[in-house]
Amino acid sequence: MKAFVCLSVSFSTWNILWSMGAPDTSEAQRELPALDRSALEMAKKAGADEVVALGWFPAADESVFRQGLAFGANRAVRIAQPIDEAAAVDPLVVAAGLAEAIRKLAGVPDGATAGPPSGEGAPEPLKVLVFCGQASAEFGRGAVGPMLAELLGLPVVTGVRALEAGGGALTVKAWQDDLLATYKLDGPAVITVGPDAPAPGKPNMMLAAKAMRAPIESIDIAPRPASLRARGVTSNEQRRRGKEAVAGSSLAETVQVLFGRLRERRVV
Amino acid sequence: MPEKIKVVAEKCDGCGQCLQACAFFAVDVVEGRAVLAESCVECGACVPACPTGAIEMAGEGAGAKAGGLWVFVPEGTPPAAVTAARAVADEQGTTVSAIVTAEPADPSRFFAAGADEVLVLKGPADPAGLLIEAAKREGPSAVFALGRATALRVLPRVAAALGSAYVALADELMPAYGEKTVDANRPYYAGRFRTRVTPSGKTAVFTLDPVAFSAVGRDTGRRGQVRSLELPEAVRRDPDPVSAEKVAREVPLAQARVVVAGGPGLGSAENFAKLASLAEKLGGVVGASKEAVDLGWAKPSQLVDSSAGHLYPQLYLAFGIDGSTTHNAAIAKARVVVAITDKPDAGLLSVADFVVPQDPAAVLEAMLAGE
Repeated sequence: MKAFVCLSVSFSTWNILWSMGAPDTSEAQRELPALDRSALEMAKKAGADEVVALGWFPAADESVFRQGLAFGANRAVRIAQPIDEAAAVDPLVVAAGLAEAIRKLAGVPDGATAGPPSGEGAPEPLKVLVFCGQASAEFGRGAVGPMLAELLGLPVVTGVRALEAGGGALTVKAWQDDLLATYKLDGPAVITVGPDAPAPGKPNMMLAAKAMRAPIESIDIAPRPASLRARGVTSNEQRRRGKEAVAGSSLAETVQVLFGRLRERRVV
Repeated sequence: MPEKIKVVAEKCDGCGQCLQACAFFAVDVVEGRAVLAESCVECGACVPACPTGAIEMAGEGAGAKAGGLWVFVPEGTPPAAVTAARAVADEQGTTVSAIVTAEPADPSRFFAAGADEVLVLKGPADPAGLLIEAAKREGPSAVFALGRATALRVLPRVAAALGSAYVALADELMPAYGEKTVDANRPYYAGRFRTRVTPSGKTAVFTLDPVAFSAVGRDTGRRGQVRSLELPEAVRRDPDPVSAEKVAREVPLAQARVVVAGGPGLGSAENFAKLASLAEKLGGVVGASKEAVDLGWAKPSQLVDSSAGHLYPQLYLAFGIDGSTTHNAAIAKARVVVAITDKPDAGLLSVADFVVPQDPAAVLEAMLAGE
């Protein structure tokens, strides 16, 4: 089965500037988020025939795809249509774009739609596995995975912390509110990686070298209009605090003075 | 005159509770009996407010207004989102329905939290399938849920199925008085900024930040009704687990009341490990700077950084942390921040309430030995 891993971009150095009343990301370095790297590792562990790294971000962020290839993706495909920040705020725009790209890459004819899984009259579900980092669209806060599941007519398991393949099925463990649940998946599905998944390993150096020269494919989609409108951004600057120096004649006394202050504030 | 709502004169004792519930001044008490005026918009807000059950709403949806607000409450979730929706409904003059998928043992807790009705969805599907089918049938103006695991899986699905706007983990709701739209504030760029968003379309879908919306209303005088909706056509979306076990789970940093965090200034993994004892003593959890995680002293799940989310502790104790921009952004909402560092130029000092300018490892030892 083919696996798609939906990539996103994180800003590693966070040198985002607050400029003219809006964030300016032009100087920020881009990086493949740890959760997306875990998603790539899970896709390989699931025994997929081919792992396709799919993303919707500007051509300038091509290095993220190369990181995806270095982590074992067989192909990297970028959605060609530009996505502006206003649209990227809306996870449904992102999910619909990714779903259309996955349908095309999986060979579904134009115009064919996927319905709810196992519903009467629903088309045959896509024979694919789709993996997302939990924040697969950073602004969507993990919404893209379940939305993709609905749009592709697939079941979804979210917040997966462990995955094992064997006996023709995948065994995944995921938090379901306060319970740790075990699921058996024997067919197509969407899997989103949880924050307590094992930390990803280092990229394969051979693959990293190869990724530098690998082509980044592109695919066209028709973006849906945004249904969420951003009406302004404010900076989350820290409030001014007291910076009160705490000192005593000895360390023990310093600690006593500190706990006294904390008791006055009723936090201990 | 209103057609769907009527006052049963024999039951009415003229207490006037309905007057207070009506946002449109469309109820009066005449000769000891409630009377509905021409201006009644049949919102149904007076129905659950009546302590004697004298106001009745005819037809499906009695007790809740068609196009009202829905709150999905998965099993085991506190009805805090119901209370949040109540505040919105009061501004908009509409009603709140608590949506559940199993008969509630104690529906009064939903009414106390602010619900006008409890709507029990019944059918062969899972919660996602039931909620999608019910929303298609009844068309609520908005669907809310507290942003915990089940809701974070189900509600994006609902939004995608309805083609609706979805706002993830809003930490502030701003209803427009008398209108059906609700603006929301939510973190942006991993919490470094905030953005206000306006959803458009028929049914807006929101998950709410569980920390920002933790309050649960306790108005034990509120009343409402329980209604069932049969949905035989609903289709199952997601698999059931083959097993589920209760496993001790670390309190996530974002939900911790006290966070004791460490950075490279502690000098060694051994010193860092001692933070756990202090955290246990204070009833908190251990956090770590990016450097401490990179050094392998802590797990990635312990990272304190705005890329991993915001923290809201009452107390944040930082040992040997320099305080990068993203670290400081993550703790911006902590009530009290204590910086324990011997570096006079540490960035953390600019956001600290208290500063202990000593060797962090030595202060940690003194804290463990002392109080």
